[in-house]
Amino acid sequence: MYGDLAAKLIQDSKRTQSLDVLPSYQTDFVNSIVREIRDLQRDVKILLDKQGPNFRASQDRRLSCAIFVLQICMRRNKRCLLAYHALRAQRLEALVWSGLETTSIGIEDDTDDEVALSERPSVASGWHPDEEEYFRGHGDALAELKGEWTDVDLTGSMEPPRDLFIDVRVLKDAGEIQTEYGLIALTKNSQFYVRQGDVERLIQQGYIQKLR
Amino acid sequence: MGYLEHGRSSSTDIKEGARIELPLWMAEILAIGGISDELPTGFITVSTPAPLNSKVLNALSADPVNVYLRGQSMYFYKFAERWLAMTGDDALLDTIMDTFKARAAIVNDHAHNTRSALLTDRSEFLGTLDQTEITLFKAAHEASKDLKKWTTVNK
Repeated sequence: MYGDLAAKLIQDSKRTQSLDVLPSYQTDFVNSIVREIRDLQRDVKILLDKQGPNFRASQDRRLSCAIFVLQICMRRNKRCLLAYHALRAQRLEALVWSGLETTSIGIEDDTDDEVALSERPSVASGWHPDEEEYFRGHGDALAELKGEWTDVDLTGSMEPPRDLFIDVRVLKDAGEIQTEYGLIALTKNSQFYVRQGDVERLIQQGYIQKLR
Repeated sequence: MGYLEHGRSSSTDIKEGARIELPLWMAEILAIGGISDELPTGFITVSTPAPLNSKVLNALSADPVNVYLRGQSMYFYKFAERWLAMTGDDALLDTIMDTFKARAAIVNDHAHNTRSALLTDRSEFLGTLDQTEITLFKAAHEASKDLKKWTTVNK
């Protein structure tokens, strides 16, 4: 029956709502639903072509019923597609605001590129290329917004810091970083006592972990 | 009623007065929407769906807590909401509201007492909840957990 594929897509959306990670983009489903819409459109055209240009809906009750049903199926499919994409777009936006970077490296020293990249988790797996572009575009827009106010970090932590310096442990190898107090080499499982402001970015990206 | 479904190659006619099953969204539109100003009546009429028939309603008015609501429909309350919006049946509305109130009290009780004395029929009841009640249960559970955490950890 028409609308079944769309119902499956909505089920996937419902599942997404309870997951933290965005599941893969359902290209096959989306494509078949679009194909279904096209088929419905074609059927409507065939029915209408049989009539003349002066067809009025009340003339033939049966025919207008058929066209009407096809029409509402098309609308239903469209609505389901829009809901699916709106949900994913919302999730992508939330990811941008949480400071996640999937493509670029956030560390000044670039010598240990290889190591850092290979250990980076791929959060962006299963995304459609359009979604990646949306993510990038939104990220750029956000960067522009943040650039207007250099004193305030709009995507920073909402909890006020308790101390100026904090203990951190390194989770992944991330090369070396320059701080006011000198160079710090971030090798896995090493602990440092550093200024909070310097490492906040790295905590957000998941390279180091704050210890209580 | 007319000419409805299109099969892959041929189209089949559905006779007037035939009974078929349709998804709610489609049935709603077809029943309510008129064709044009000259023909304002809808294409179909709908009869009471299975989850809201008299048998279920009798069971609900007798003992709402023991009814296997999930078996009727996973989204019982949402479904009833749509149906009531379409038909406006006051008696049905009262029954559903009373059911919800009675069950919500029990759901809340289960959510707050993880080691309640009703341990034996606990999982039975929780297995009969529909989606709305499950959300309610989760919210109540999280809320009581958060409150306990806040009162003990607050410096």
